[in-house]
Amino acid sequence: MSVQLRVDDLALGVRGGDTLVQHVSFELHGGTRTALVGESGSGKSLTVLSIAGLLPSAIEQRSGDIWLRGTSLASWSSARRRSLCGTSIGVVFQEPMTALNPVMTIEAQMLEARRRFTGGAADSAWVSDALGAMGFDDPRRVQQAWPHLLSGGMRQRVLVAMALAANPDVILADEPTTALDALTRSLVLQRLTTEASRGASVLLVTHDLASIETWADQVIVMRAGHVCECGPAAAVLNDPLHPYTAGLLACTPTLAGTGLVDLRTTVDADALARPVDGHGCPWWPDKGGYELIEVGNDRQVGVSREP
Amino acid sequence: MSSGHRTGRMLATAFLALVVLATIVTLPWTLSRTGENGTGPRTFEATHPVMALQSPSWVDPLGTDRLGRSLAARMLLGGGISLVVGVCAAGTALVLGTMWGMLAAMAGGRVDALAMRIVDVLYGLPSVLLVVVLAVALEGICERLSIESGTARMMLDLGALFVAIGAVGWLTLARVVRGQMLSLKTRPFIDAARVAGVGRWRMIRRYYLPHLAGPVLAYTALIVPTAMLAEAFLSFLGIGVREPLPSWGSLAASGLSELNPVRFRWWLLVPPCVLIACTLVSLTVLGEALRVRLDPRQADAA
Repeated sequence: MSVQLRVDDLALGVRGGDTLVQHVSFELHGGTRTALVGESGSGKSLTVLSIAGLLPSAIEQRSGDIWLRGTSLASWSSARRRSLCGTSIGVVFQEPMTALNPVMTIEAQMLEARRRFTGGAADSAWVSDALGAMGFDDPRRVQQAWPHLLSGGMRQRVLVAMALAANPDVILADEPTTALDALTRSLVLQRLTTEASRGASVLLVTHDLASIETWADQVIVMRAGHVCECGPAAAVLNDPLHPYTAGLLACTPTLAGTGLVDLRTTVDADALARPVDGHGCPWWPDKGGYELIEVGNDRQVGVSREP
Repeated sequence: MSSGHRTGRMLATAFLALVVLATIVTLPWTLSRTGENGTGPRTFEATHPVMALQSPSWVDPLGTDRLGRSLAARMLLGGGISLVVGVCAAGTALVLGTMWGMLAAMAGGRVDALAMRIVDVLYGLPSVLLVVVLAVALEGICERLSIESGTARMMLDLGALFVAIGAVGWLTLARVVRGQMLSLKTRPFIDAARVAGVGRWRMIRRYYLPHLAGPVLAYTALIVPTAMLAEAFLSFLGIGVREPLPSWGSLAASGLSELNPVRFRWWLLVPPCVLIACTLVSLTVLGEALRVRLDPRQADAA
């Protein structure tokens, strides 16, 4: 399907300070599910925030561009970008406990999110349908409730329903499943899959490598603000080309093994020194000359031009 | 504890309703200057030198002052004037302070810095100086326009009073609102609403204002009694409510001057003081009740 969102050589940094994200490029196709993985602080959330136009005032976009269905957003003001929110871009936030307005009922908040789609008409029936689709047994009761009466998992499901309220083309979900139990997590992932099957592109930031292997179509691995590896989920997770991806997978806890290993020792130093397809060694934070190269089968690896 | 709160709220509401009704409804009568020939109930400015400083009796339920004026009539009119002054000053402070604080916090950066430095400078100015300047300016204006006395002069005096009290009251409120807004702006649900596509005005109306209402209302309820006390002080300086017009503040002030160890003329001092205190407590109780009411987390418990 067509490219819904293209991030092109994005660089973000602290105003007058360090560069935090560099050379980040990827594409989201309509109807696909993409997982963005990497350790904390690797720039996943910043990338998502910059797509949504929600960067904190201390962070600036240094270079690069974001294309939404062929339209460059680089020259757009933040107010104009915000007009995209809801219908074009939907965002699910990380903190379920604080992302709901404590002085509005669930129904009122969901209707605020729905206004963009309906043009202001109250749509109470839609609220209970949307909550029912998120697995609530008693949507009518949840609808009338204040946020403080709901548990964390319930709030997170409400947030997902809100982000999807105006049928956005691109859905950005920043660790929506991190604080959830297994049952709710699979429910949220299923709901996102439904959205993908209606043609939306879903970008999920997550640490949960185990469940994305079956869920995601595409995986992007980030490390220290750079893309290490990008490609089809099954291929990347079963046959990682970048030693960092392999290390990350080795650290993932499983029921069989402990998974409690030090990432620094699991990243294979020999593999880091071995060129990929004759292009250069896999990129690592202490190496310069970063480049994201194509290695066939839709796969890309970050390599270093310098020896 | 909950029933205690409810009784307090009911008492406060009943008291305020009674005071407002009693003072406002009787305004046409208390303000009228007719019937000064000694027959019928006396108006606030009808003097009776023979009956000066009488203690409460059936003729004068609250006694008389040094000029023999009926204190009951003066208390009724004074209450109306004090409440109007208090409410108007609080209203001015509420509107001006909330708008100023919100604009500063929403604009951010240099606009915010400039707006807050203006508040700082106004804070630094001694309010008495401001009042004296205002009084002199007003005197000049009245001379230029040849307004000697009467209703126009009275309105000008009251207008200057509102400016003088309002000019000070909104400063703290602007700071309170700005601080609240700054902390609100960083709350994730504001970002969440923004990406859900909620427009700027709806954002202010449905997301910012309900959160500001609690602290702002609690503070505004405190401005009313402060303004009533400030009015007493300013009237003493010769701006605002002038003799023979009474207000609770100026009645209390004149009652205080009659306080001496030889004869304690309590009826001059106690009624205005008690009424000011009760109004203050009632407003505070109601302000707090309103604040709790607006917070759904506490409204359940109440």
